[in-house]
Amino acid sequence: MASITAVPEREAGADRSVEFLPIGRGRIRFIPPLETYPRVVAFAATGYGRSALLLLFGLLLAPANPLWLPITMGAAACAYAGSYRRWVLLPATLGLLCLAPQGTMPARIAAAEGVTSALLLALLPYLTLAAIFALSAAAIAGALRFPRSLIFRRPILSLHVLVVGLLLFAGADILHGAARLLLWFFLVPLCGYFWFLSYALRDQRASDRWPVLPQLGIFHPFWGSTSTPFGKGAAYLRRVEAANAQELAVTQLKGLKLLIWAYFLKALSAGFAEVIHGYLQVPTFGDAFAQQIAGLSVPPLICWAALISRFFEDLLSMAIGGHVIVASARMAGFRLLRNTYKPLAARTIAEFWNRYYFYFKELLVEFYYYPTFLRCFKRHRRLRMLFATFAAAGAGNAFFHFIRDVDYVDRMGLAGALVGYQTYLFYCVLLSVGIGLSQLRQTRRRAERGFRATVAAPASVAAFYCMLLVFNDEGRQYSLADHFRFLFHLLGAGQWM
Amino acid sequence: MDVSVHAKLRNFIAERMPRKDDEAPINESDSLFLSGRLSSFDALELIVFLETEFSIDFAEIDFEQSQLDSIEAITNLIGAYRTQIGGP
Repeated sequence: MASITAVPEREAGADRSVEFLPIGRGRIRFIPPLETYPRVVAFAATGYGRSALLLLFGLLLAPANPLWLPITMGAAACAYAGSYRRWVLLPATLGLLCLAPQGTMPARIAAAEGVTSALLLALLPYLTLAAIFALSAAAIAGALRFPRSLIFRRPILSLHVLVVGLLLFAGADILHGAARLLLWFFLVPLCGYFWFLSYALRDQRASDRWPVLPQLGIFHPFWGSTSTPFGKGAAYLRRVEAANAQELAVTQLKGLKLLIWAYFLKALSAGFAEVIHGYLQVPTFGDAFAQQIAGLSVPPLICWAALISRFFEDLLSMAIGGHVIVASARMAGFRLLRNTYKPLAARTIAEFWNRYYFYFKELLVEFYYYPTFLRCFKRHRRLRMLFATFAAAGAGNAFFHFIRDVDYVDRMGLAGALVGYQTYLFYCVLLSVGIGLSQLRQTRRRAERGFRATVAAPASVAAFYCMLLVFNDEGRQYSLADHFRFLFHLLGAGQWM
Repeated sequence: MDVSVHAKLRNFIAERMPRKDDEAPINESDSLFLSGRLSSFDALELIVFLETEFSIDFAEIDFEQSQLDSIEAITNLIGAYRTQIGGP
């Protein structure tokens, strides 16, 4: 493993932690580059130094996360475990999941199906957790034992087929009582852990793969995640794991800096909201949209202000959340790349996507983009790229969000959930067309400097994503026509619809 | 591994770095993707380049991005593929 002190600053570590806006080549540093100071690194590599960093991290995390103590303890255990770090992951993750289990829908269904036992309802989240871990362990073992079998030859495809089959079964609404409860008992956690299991199954092909228990330790790891695994799978973590005390010290210093940077952004976000929604009285985008669709005419200028403010609020929110998670992983000794990295500096639509939500983009690239690109339309360069982009940013993106919000199927039925999904499906199509065309142009692009590169191109990209936000609605309340009505109103052509 | 493979690879990668305002030198074992110097989208161009220049069929191998993560890794991949198909 290359020394992380030797790599260029652009590397993950390269937290040019202070930068968020495209401010040209000059840099304003709010946080000193502590990881480049030899005396600081030397101290951080000692037992006292490591303890001090972890203590400071815990104190800083406490106001931001109610689970700060188990996260800090997990990070500390990993940091002190050294080369045995992977074996600490499962207990640390299970400890956190017991405090805050993921997915409580089976309890709701159980109540709806007449299960009244308070004990059973209380235990359901933990039973769900035990079931998904047991099934995942069995699947991982199966992938290892029978790699050429029909199911495990293409395990990710098999997993997709399984979930779609269960969804169709659940949507048919033919089961009731205990049978329905059992179906959802498996479906909900399977959807929640789908991508974690996908990474684990893929890792079974690697010669240096982790055993089953450490693999399970990164299923919703203790450092945090969404449905998207932050830190991808074991294959990635093996390669970014600190190999010695000095690497760990540098990684932890960068983690601490990133957490401090997250606080700075949080203050910025709060100030932004206060000015926009408090002082200027601009409604949130959701409120402006709802009022306009309800027939209360909101001036287009106010709608524009609400849309643009949502764009910046989304950026800040994504950056803050991601930074806290990545900082926690770094404290545990995993040198993760930042999830959000200077999105407003992106000069192309494709580049913005890469900078805005890195781990989600990576997930789609690994499970949809590459497999499609490597197999389909190999003799037609442009079509090949466009089709692979559609598979990832379109189909994969839509599938990801549909199974993430699987409870809509329970509430609305499969057909209702699919019909209600029309706006987000349209959003996926627009996004994939935008990214696809951007990539085709990018292959012809030369290095650029000046106003176009630093201002005009990033502004155009931001404008594209800002407009796209009109259709970025993962809910099921409003139709596609409602979103078009809002768009036309924004453009001053409301009378057309 | 013959020198021309190295040279072609190095030229290909060096041409793309300035687009990313990355002027830092690239050593044989420097990480390209894991470090964030190149993105997954850049990997596609690299794949097409390897397909056309070295006739690698990525559909035939268990492809992972890590196989392209450094000039050294890519040359190993090319060597292993040529051995597998019995080429030069």
